[in-house]
Amino acid sequence: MRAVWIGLAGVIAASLWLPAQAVAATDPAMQIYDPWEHFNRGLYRFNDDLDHAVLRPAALGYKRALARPVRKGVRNVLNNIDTPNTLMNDLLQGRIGLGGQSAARFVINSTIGVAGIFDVASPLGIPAHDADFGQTLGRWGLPPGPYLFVPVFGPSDLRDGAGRIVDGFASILSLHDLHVTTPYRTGIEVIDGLDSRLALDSTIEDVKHTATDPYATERSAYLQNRRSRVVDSRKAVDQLPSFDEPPPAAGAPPAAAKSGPS
Amino acid sequence: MRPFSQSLFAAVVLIAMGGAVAVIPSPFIVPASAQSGARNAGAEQFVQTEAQRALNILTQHRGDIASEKRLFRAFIDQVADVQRITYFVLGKYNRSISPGQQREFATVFREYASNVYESRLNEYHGESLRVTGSVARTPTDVVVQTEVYGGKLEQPVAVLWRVLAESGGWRVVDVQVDGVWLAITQQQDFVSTIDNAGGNIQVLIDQLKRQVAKDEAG
Repeated sequence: MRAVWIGLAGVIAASLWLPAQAVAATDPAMQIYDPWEHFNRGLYRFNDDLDHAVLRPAALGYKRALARPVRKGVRNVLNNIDTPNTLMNDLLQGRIGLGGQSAARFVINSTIGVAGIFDVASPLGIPAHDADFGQTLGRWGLPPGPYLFVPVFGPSDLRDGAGRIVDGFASILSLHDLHVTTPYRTGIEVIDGLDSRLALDSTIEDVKHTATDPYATERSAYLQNRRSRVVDSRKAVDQLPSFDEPPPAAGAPPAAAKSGPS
Repeated sequence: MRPFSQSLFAAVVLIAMGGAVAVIPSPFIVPASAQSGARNAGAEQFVQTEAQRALNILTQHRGDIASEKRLFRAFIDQVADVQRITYFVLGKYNRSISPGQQREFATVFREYASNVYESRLNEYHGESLRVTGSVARTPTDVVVQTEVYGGKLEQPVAVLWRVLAESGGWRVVDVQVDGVWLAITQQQDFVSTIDNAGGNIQVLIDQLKRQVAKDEAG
């Protein structure tokens, strides 16, 4: 755990130090900071091949093997396992009301919902929501840092990559008293990955079919989605780009045109 | 992107892209007193009314794909400001595009966008929409907040609509689902494609033409 915090401190320092982050942004919703684009595109192509050969076929095999209601129950259990981490991040972000909802969902779904198989809380008016440590770091003011594409895991950035590691250690599966063995935990993570890949299948296929540059489209969607979870909605509306004035002219230095904190 | 909103994401693409340049006067007038940050009742009413009209087309002509496509093209011609969207999605390359390429791009972009949404008309499953508020960036530039619910959605999904007013009428220029603005995403896709072609806009135009030909053949 100590190594994680040291690594996290390094990420925070790197994000704050990166000089391009200091560039003023007039419309941050449009800003892309991808200084490692060449490297990322290489990883993206590798992942595309891996997905074609292994990940997608495995996800479709998972779909064939389990009926929809069973998969739904599995997804509910996986979500329930994540809920204590959501609660922790709700509280770290100072969102006490949402934290109360997370706590209530965990108690209700773990008991009445039979170990999380059934999402009883949603029909009772306690809907699910997401919170993770990358989002927490963002709400604490840490910039996202450079965009990263991580094979198997997909789009990310420096802040979210660090957050994902912390989330892994903060999971209830890491609790010593639960005695979750490594093979069991790996199995849960594989099922989580297959189910997540399956859920995104039509979106990924749509992007591959319609986008002129699928890498850029996925990057744009990811960064906008993550930014929407960090930035105050009123501020985000104020920072939307103009529909009548084009951004800086073609040929402007990429560092100036493609950077900025969210 | 959360999976439950995929069909919704597809559905709102209808509004964010496609259509023609005709400006249809709207009965909803921009209130002179509208201030930045305040709600705008006219913009909210516009979104509620037009979204309901879209849902009516999908409901009343379910299964009749030809009618759905024809009515939807006419609908988008009326509610989307395609001229602005077409200009916006080229981003910084609007400064260097020739008038001939601009015409060529506008034509192929309309076909490309229409093919994208028409291929998804069958993903509507009876969802409804209600307006929950709005934020005026300026009196003529408003973000309307809505919730889409029902159908196959397990929970309501927040959808934002950016509408601009001109000549007495509101027009949609962008739609946001799960924090992702469609026109902004489209711009970043197109600009990246042109960047990677060394700034040659014709490469994007030719790629879109090939995509359209492939869609129409398939």
